Amino acid sequence: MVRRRVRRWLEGHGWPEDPIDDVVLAVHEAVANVVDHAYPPGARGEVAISASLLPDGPHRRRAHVVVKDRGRWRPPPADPGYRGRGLQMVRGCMDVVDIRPGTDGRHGTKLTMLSAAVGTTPAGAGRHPRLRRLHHDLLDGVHRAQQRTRILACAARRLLGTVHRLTGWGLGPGAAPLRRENGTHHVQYVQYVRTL
Amino acid sequence: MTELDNPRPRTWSWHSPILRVVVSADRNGASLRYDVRLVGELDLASVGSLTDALEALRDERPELVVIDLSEMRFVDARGLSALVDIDRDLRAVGGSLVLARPDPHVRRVLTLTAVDTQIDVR
Repeated sequence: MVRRRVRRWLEGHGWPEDPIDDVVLAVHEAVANVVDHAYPPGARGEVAISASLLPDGPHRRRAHVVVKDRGRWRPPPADPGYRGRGLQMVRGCMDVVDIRPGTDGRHGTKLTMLSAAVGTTPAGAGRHPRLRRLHHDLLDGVHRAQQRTRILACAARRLLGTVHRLTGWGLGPGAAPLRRENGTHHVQYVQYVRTL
Repeated sequence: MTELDNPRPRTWSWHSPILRVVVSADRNGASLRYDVRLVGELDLASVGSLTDALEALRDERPELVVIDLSEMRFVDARGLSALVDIDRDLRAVGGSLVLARPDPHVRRVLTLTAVDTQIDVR
């Protein structure tokens, strides 16, 4: 599941629990929104998640998460059903939310989120004690590159794991192969979730 | 033996990998009450366990359904919709739903989406 991975990622950076809950929920809803609405029923779909930490002053950071699909954006209905609530939750949990529907059939929706700025505790500043002495921007750069790669791989693996658990289709958790395209991991799973 | 002859609550449960739903139906005279415990995470993958567990609700028409949320760690928009649907179905037949003891995170989500203005949260 995406949200366990996001949680562990932020915990590793010493984020307090409540702000973690917010980011986890927002990312979950953004991905759930793709699963439900970006692709027509029965279609094969893809979702790409990338996440990074951005410094905001010397002691604070923001989580920056982008969720992209290649489907067709459909505006939420006037009656706020679960989709309306999902977007309410994304907006309520993050400081900045930007939704850009694709301009042609080939490019899907890009949802960009920026969390509230959070002061991280020194103990959680990193898993590499020696690097802590370096300038915080360099540390951020190192972590950003590492985490971006890790979160993509794990998110894709967990999504396939969920599909496997729900439908029996495909491979179990941890065994999912990843398809790499232009440096981004994609995973084909939407079709199977939709058939539930 | 009919229900009235046997006053002990009936219980049943449904499981998904991330959610356990335990329902206890207690009949006291003519009135029927459901106590539901949700343990784990209520999301688009597990919401089916809740709707399946409460399928009998349409036929039995309990007067009161209390869903204990104290052990529910996560709820998403799909999970909230299931709760709103249960509330709507119950109201249609004169019953009511109470969401009990949500943890602070879940309570915040209920507030954020204004679900706490539709459903009785205690």
